[in-house]
Amino acid sequence: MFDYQVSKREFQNWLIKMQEEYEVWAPVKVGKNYTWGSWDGGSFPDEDYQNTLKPPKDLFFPQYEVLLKYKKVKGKRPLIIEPDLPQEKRIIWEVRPCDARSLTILDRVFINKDYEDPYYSHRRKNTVVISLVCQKPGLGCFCKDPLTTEGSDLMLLDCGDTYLVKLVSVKGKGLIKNPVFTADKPINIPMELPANPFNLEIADKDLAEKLEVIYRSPLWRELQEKCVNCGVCTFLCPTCHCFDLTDDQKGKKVRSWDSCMFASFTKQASGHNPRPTGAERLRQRVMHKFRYFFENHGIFACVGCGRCVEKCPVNLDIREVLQRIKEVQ
Amino acid sequence: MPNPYLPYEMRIEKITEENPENDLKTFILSFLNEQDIERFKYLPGQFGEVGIMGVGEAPFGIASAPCERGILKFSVKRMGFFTKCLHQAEAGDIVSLRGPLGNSWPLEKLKGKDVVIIGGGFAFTTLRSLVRYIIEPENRSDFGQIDIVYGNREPGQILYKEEFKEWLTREDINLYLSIDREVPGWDKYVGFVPEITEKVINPSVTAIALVCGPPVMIKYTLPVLQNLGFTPDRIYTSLEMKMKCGIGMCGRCNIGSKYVCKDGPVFSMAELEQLPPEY
Ligand SMILES: Cc1cc2nc3c(=O)[nH]c(=O)nc-3n(C[C@H](O)[C@H](O)[C@H](O)COP(=O)(O)OP(=O)(O)OC[C@H]3O[C@@H](n4cnc5c(N)ncnc54)[C@H](O)[C@@H]3O)c2cc1C
Ligand code: SF4
Ligand code: SF4
Ligand code: FES
Repeated sequence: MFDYQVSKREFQNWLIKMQEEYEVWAPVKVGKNYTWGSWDGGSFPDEDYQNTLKPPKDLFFPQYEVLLKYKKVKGKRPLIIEPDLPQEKRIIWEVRPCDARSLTILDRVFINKDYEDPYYSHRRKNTVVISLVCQKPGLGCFCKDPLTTEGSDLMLLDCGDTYLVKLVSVKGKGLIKNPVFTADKPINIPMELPANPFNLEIADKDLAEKLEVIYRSPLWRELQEKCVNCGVCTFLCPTCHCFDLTDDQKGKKVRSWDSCMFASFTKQASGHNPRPTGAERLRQRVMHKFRYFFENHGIFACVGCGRCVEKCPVNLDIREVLQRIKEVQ
Repeated sequence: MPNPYLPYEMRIEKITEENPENDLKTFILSFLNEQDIERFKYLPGQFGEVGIMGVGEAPFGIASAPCERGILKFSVKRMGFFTKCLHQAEAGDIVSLRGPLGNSWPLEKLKGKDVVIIGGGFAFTTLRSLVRYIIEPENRSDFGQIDIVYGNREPGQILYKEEFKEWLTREDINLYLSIDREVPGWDKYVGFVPEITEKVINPSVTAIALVCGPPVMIKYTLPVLQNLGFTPDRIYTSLEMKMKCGIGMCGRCNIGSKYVCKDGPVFSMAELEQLPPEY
């Protein structure tokens, strides 16, 4: 059920009003691709907007981030400076539902009962996520449900001149508390999409069971043969969260994205590497998403956005990988 | 919740060279801020990320015991970049520390049981913490008989030499020190750890074995322990994987669905049998 129907003009005016308090982010076209940028208050998603090249994880867990700064003064004790935690209030809109959902997966990693990453959690708290339902799947997509509201605060469905708006979270409802839209009575619009064209679920329970027994299979070696270990699949993935911590020479502790597809990722000082070849590394990537994460959190760490499918330079297609795994006897 | 990346500031109080090659040093650190002593509550088996600001961090097992109030002890082998820089540090220098991280030796399970401790080389760090914890007068009666087999290549490599000398004189510890090959003047055991274990250990049916050392030592000691009657749920070891965050987020130290930094580093053999052999 959606709650409101508003004209796009009205919605735009509302967002412009919100800009007084929030920084509004939207997909911005750069060359052939969309990337996340500051919204200019004018443009709406183009007909050709499928999804952004990079997922919105960058807005919460930046590719490069200073965690601490140190000041060393000779003969005195060094000063450790915790940077101000991010306070900007932001709205990101036109997020695809799969990407909104990916944030709930990152939440499980960065905010848990033992530890909380304050940089991530502050950004999450201060950001409103407005998603936009997909009406046709992209080339590499294989999501299960383009109407999922997980991770969204508000959800939009494009109906030409109007949007249907769904209030999802408390945060989202709070934004629209005095009905700002002229249709001031919530309307019940049955959630019938242009007959769900998706139905692309590949990652299912069967897969999870197969992964229990396939650890030693020679399939991994065969599947990874063409992989060049570039790491693109993990960098562009909205749910991949691996990172490195380093100190730079200028006194900063820096966190930057890392990838399980790199040999150095697990190579110890002694030279020993528990995942010495591409076969173990591909296995780790697939197993982490579809088995280990599932064991720990009850969901797969893949939302089917298709980025890794479309951008792998050698067309190593995770949908095919999963299919092959399911076919193993 | 506190920022898990914000370290404690520590002063190096004392550095001891542990071996003739001079690539193994023990650092005694004290807290710069008095109130941090109470905040840093740890148990034997846990580790910390020791850091030099502007250089980096690396994980090391805590070799001191909670009863040694106000100080922490780490024994560090010089390996790569960070450990080389740490070896160049001097008493009085300030370092950083994040922790305590990870689980601990299974203290609750050890209560009331005999404990067989098997160590090799410089991996005796958190085992030393445990022994020191057990022999503390107020804890000693919680545990049964303590047997320790500690093997090294040659006598020069033995960690904490003074302390082992004292432990040799204690009535309440059976200590079996061994070296790989005979050298003049050595009057203790000679042979590899698995052999010595087989020869000297005669465990009770509920005894628990804790093993920590180089991978080959562990590999050949496990079957010996099983022959001696230890079931997989009564053998524990502490694992090492490359680590960065130490808090289960950076994604690199997992074995199957377990993160060694957070769910470990201590695992029983029964637990390890459930995990893929990827370590
Ligand atoms: C739980 C645990 C406890 C440990 N306890 C001790 C100890 O008590 N004494 C001791 O001498 N060593 C210990 N180690 C090993 C020690 O952490 C490595 O020798 C050290 O990280 C090597 O760092 P480096 O910068 O000199 O090597 P480099 O190869 O230059 O490593 C670069 C960075 O990679 C990471 N790294 C590399 N190898 C390892 C590794 N084997 N384990 C974890 N991180 C690694 C570190 O962040 C390190 O700074 C322990 C490791 C773990 C995981
Ligand atoms: S993008 Fe393709 S080639 Fe690159 S690491 Fe991933 S699977 Fe391998
Ligand atoms: S694994 Fe591929 S399809 Fe799945 S979420 Fe990551 S990038 Fe998208
Ligand atoms: S060290 Fe980062 S997940 Fe274990």
